[in-house]
This record gives sequence, C-alpha cells and structure tokens, in this order.
Amino acid sequence: MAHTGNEAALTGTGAYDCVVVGAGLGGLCAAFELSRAGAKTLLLEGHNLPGGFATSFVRGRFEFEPSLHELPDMRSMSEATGVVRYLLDDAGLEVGFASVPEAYRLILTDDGVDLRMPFGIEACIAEVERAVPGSRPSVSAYFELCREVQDGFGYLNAHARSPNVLKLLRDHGDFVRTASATAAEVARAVGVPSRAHDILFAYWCYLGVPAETLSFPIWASLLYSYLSSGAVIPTMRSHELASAFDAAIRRHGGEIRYNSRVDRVLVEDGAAWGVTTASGETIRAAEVVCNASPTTVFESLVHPASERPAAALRAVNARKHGFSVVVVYLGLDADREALGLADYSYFIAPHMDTRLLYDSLYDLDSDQVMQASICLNSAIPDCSPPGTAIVSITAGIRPEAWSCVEAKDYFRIKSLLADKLIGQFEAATGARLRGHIEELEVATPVTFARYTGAWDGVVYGYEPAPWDSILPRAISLDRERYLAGLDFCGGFSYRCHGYGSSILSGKAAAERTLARLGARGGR
Amino acid sequence: MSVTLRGPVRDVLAFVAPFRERSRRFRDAPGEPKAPGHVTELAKALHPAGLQLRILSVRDDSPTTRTYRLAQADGSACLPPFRAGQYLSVFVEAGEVRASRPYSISSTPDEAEGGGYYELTVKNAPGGFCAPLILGTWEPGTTVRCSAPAGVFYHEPLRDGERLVCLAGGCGVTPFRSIVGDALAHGRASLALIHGATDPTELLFSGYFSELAVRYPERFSYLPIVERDGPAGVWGGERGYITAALIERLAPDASDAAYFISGPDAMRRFLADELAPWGLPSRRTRLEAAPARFGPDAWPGYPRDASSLAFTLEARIGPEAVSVPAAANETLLVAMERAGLRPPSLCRAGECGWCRSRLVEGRCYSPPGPGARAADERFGFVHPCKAFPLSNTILEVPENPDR
Repeated sequence: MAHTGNEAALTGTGAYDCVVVGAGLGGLCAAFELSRAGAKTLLLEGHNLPGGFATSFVRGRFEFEPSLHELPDMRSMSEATGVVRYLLDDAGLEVGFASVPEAYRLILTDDGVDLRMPFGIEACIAEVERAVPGSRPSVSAYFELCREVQDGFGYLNAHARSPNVLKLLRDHGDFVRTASATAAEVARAVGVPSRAHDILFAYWCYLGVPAETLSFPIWASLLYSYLSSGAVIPTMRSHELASAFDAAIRRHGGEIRYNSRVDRVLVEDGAAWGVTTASGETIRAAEVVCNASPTTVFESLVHPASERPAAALRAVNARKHGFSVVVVYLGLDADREALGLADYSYFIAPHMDTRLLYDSLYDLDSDQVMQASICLNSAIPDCSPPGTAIVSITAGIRPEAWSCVEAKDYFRIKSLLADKLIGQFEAATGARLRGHIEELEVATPVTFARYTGAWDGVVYGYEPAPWDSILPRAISLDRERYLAGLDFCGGFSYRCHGYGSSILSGKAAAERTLARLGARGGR
Repeated sequence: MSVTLRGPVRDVLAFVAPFRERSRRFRDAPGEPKAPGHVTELAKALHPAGLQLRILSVRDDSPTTRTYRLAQADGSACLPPFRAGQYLSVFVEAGEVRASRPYSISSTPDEAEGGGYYELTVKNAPGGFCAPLILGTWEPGTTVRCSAPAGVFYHEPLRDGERLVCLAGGCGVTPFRSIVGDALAHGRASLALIHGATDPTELLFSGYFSELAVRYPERFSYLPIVERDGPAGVWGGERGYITAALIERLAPDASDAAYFISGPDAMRRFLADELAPWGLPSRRTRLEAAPARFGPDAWPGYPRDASSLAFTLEARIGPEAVSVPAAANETLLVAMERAGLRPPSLCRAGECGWCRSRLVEGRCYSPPGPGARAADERFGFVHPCKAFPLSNTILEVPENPDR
C-alpha cells in the first residue's frame, strides 16, 4: 500500500491554537501548559526524542546523562519560583528526583585549594571561613545580599504585571542598587576576600560569563538557590523528565510529532500564522511558540525573508551566544568506592581567574581548563549496574575554537580532548579512571548542533551580561516582540539559560500565549 | 543590609543603565541576517541526514559475496568521514516494499578522503529480502540511498588500549578490513585477526590481510581457518572453529587485549563459551551490533509456543493509521516494512534507538541487550527493530525524515 501521509495533510486545514517549535524543556513545558489549559496544541520536534539537552543515551550497559542537569530545589521559595515543586505538585509529572549530596568539591590545582562545599548557607559560610580565616563577616553579608536579590525577584514575579517602583525601592533597595552591577563589582563592594570569592564562584561555569561581566542579580539568584536549598536530578536521567512531559502533554490532548523539524515560521503582515516542516507540510496556527532561539528564528526560519524585521535582526545580532561544551562520558567497570570517587560534583581548574578561563575557551589547545565533572552514582547509586560507575567530564568551549577543525580530523580531536580532560581529572583527584573504561563517548559542539539544532552547537543561551540579563530581558519583553503571534521560551528567552529557567520560561510563554488566545476569542 | 557600590544616588540611577545600554547595542548592531558558523558546517559534513551514493564499480570477493564501491551521486561533495568499523544503513526497494539493512563499510577511512569512496561488501542470503535484491539489481551507475556512517563498533585507544584481538565469522570480517587497515596506517595498536569461514573460497580479503601481515610483522598477525576444504581441495591451513586454544596460539598473553567479535549468532555463542573460562572483564569484549535475524524462541523469558501466532499491528505514522499483519516471530519493524510502510530504522539491533516508537496498546517481547532507555520502559516506548508482538498492538511511530 502506498504511503500518502504528506499529500493528505498539505491543505493547511485542521488549524491549531498553537504550534510549539522544539521539544526542549521550554517547549515541552509550554506545550504542556497550553494543552492543559485546553488550547489545541501541536509540539513539533526535529529529533526523534523529547528533551533537547535533557535526554539520555545508551552505550553498552550504561545510560548516560548528556548534560549537567541539576535543578535547584527551591523548596523554601514561593510557589512562583520553585521549579521542582511546580513539576511534582502543580504539573503532576511522573518523575523521580534524587538529591545531590553536596554543592561541589572544588580543586584549584595552582592555588592549592581542595575543599568540599556543603549545601546550606551557614555551612557554606563556615567552610569558606575555614579555608579563608576572617572571611565570615563579608561572606555572611554577601549571602544576605544574595537573599535580598532573591526576595526582589520574588516580588517581581508576584507583581509582574504592575510592579510598584516605590515599594520596590523601599523594601528591595539592595535589589535595585545591585541590579545593574556585575558579580565582581558587588563582591568588591562587600569586601569579600578574593580567595573567598574564588571558592564561592565555582558555579560561574553554569552561567558561562566571567565575574567582571556577569550580571550580579542572576548570579546571586543562582548561587543562593543552589546553596540554600540544594539541588536534585531525575533518577532515570533527564530523559525521564522529558518523557514525563511527553506523557502529560498527551494526557491533556496535546499532539507531539518527532522527526518533524520546522524549516519555516510563516509570517504575513507582521504576524505568524503557521509553520512548514522539513517534509513540506504546512500547518496553520493562531500562535507560534519557539523553543528554537530568536537567532535561529529570525536569521533563518521566518518566511518570507522580507518579514524578518530589521529591528529583530539587530537585536539578535547585538547579543552574544553563550558557550558550548565538550563532554567526556565514561562507563567504568569499578564502583565509585574502588575508584576513590567520594563526591558527586567536581569543579577542577588551575585557578579561578574567570577572565583567563573564559578567554581560554577560544583555544582547543589551552591548558587553562575548568572542568565540571560528575560521578552520577554519588547521587543515584544504582544509575549503573553493581560494580560500575558513571563519570562525565564537562568543559566549556567556544564554537569559534573549532573554526580550524576539518571534518577528517574530527574523531582524532575528540580523542585528544578526552585524553586531556581525563588526565586533568585523574591528576586533580588522584582517582584512576584509565584501565576501567568500559564505555567512552565524547560530545562536542558538533554533537549538540547535530542533535538539538542549537546555533553553532551552543548549550547556553545569550550571555547574561548586565544589559542582557534577566531583568532587562523581562522588562523589555513586550517591547521586544517583533512579530505578532510569535513568542519564545527556552534557554534563549527572558529567564536566561539553565534547566529550571528553561522550564519556567515555557510556563510563562504559555501564559502569555493563552492570554492572547483568550483576548482574541480564538479558543 | 544596605549595600553601596558607586554611591547612594548613582546606585539607584544605575538601575536603568542596562536598559539604556541594551537599547544602544540593539540600535547599533547590524540588521542583516548572518549565517551560522563553522560548527554547523561541520555537523552537516559529518552527520548529513542521509546520503545518495552512486555505484562506481563492482567486484566479486567470493562465490557468494560482492563488494560495491560507492561515491556521492552528485559527483562533487566529499563523503562524510567515519570511524573504521562503522556501517551504512542501506535502503532496498522492491515494488512498494522498502527495507533497510546495515552494512559495515569494508573500506578504510583513508579511502573515503578527498573524492574517495566507501565499499560495502554484501553476502548473498538465499531466501532473504535485501541481499538477493542488492546482488541482483545493483550495478555500476545504480543510485543507492543510505544513512550517514553510524555505529559504535570501532577501536578507541583510550577505552580499548593498543592491543586488539579481532575474531570474525564469515562476512562478519567486513568491519575488520577497515579497522585493521586504519589502525595499522595511523595508530600504534597491534592486532591479531582470526577469520573463520566455511571454506577457503569464502575467506574474504585474505590477500589484503596477508599482505598487511607481511608489511607489519610486529604489529599484525592473521590466521584464517575454515570448516572444510573448498572445491579445489588444496587448503593446507587451519581447519575447524575459532577456539580459545587457537586464540592463545595466535595472540599469546593477550589477557589485557580488547576482543572485537563480529559474526553470525552461532559463532558468537560458541565463542562466548570458549572465552568464558578466561573471565574477561566486560570492558574487554566488544560485539558488533547484531540485527535480529531470527525468531525470538531462543531467548530467555520468551513465552512458550508464542512464536507461531499471528497478530495485527495498527501503525500510526504521522497522520496515518494503517492496520497490518504482524507475525509473532518477526519484529514490528519488519511487519511495517512488509506492508509497504516506511518507518525510521538504522541499526536494526535495538542499539541506536532511531526507530523508537510508542506502544499505545498491546504487549511485545524484546530480547535482552543494550539500547533501551530506563524511562522508555515506564512510559511505554519500544524499539520496533527488536520488538516481537505478543498480542495485537497499536504503535505510534515517528515519521521517517528520510522517506
């Protein structure tokens, strides 16, 4: 019998209230909220799996987590920002979470730093005091400031539609005063000793911007939420979380199509009206929500090209993409005790000069490498068979560093990078991984570009410098909507990148979209 | 607390500074579209969605085996580089039926470079679907649709070390032509290859391997072994099967070596028993992905007498829903292909997950082996290339982007 799927559905009838482009965490959450609210929703994904970076892959008897995937567990925070509570209680997803045992083990090989940062603000302050005697007053003040920034975000979240500026100034003065500052600026003003700041700054690689250009509020928010209440990870890798979203979307009547890459976002007279998939099918929708980045959408998806607003192109060209990563995945045939891996998360670098570390991201050969490495079994003991362990080593890299690489040399370069990162890990921790490697895989920006379609394989959204951090993005949201019927979610959207931010950005995009659909009487 | 950065008034005024800077940067940036960079180009070059190849030449490598040399059909573009040991998944069509088959690339990565070629070596399988069609229809000039190179059966020194023992049965030797050639030309590895075949005429690439053994006496040793003599009756070499004793003779003290095994099921089972007393750690053996060629009866846990049953499969591919017959002793993937559907597939061994589909209703049996994601089991996703139906089933299949 003939296969006639394409011809059958070309007509553009059967319109949707909303088409969501991309099933990363932002797109999954947006599609979930839209279908839960009763909107006729179609989620289109180019790959054959949900999740984007939040997925998993199998080699032999190991199932690997592709990315650093912790969700700060903001149990103590309001419902509005507690992403784990949202997933479990509000969204009701069928997903199990395991707690990460400690914040991080930090090893700075040139500086002789080797410490274990616990969760809990008081415990952190004590650990920093132990490493840098006399730092307690300034570090305490620093955390107090971080907490006030969190409160400020809490107020803005709760009053997103009509923030009272006077109240903001009166009750959240520190939030206002530090809103435009960089992380380095604030640490200096509070008098945090540089050695103490080094110790506290390990999470910078989760945002990917050096201290003197990193927006303080987003940094403070990240640091405080991690350290105050810990973090969790899905027990069956992030594929469990993505699959739980998939199931929840279907349960609420939403449709999902994999292997269905969107090649065009169709626009007429400044308003999006549908999409065209790679197989040539045109699908109508009142609203389009893109998990794909504004760069991808405005530079190459909006069709016809004459509908790409110059202001939108200027906006995406003004912004700087975050970095990408190289990840070495190791399935080891010894358990973590035998390997001498006591900790979950290892941040290893020669030092914490973030400018130098950042600049080295442009050089494949650099020895100024910071790696964030995970022994997954320390959080989920049975994530691999008895007598085995999973270690993944992640190091940042700018896509530009690959400009000289030719395709024929690609596999050799992957092995060289893996060798370097394994060597750095072994030298810093004293653990012996070689001789136990049963499975080895290496992901690069090329891998991420291949599977997620991310612009040049970047794993983070736009860099959150003060002028492009969460506050300017959030407050400029309405002004920076360049096309009607088109909205964004995911790591490139207003909450900046990170698993939690991507999820909540999808929720927010769904709320905005539903409001527009409602106003139009479209449902 | 009350922090002061630049001054009490300036700090409050600074609140708006990022907004001004944002407006200025947005205003001053170029308004022309830009193309993505080199990483995107690399991803396209290394991992194209699919390939259209043209057969350059054909050669008989044995009475039952033919090797096809292929290059890009458009004659211009370079072939994607690959890792020695990887395969191409080839589409074969007869009427409305299209099936895929993974074939190891028997040529080396060097031979693919700079306007080069891939070679696929195909053994006839009487009664099969793909091999007879390929051998009967492919000739110089034929256009072949296939996947980009895929698979994880390759030598990775960081993982496997620098000593390899390659054990091949029949046409399972094809990936080793690539692996051995590549490792000798570029690496430091030393390798031993034992190739077992039915008779001397089926010892594929024996000239190639013998030559390499002469050229790299310190690094490569080659031992062919046959079950019986050929029609010429002049075989003076080893007879029998690949045994532990034979391996020890060719590769003494190879307890630290990595054992790469590629061949038919019977040979794998025999070898597993032979090697069991050595207690090799599991990191030391690597098996070529084995497509599910046979029925599920032999697997542990398969219900007795179930394999003779016949069921119905409702396949939902994209907007379509089609009911097709599904025999219990064939995979859901085969059932769909037989009915003229074009579901996605790649390794056909359960490993790669490219055919991953949602089991909406019904039950099926999947033999043990690597590939399945833990959460997929809970949420009802299966790999149809390795799923045998145990009831009538409804399967939601992602559309094949390469149809």
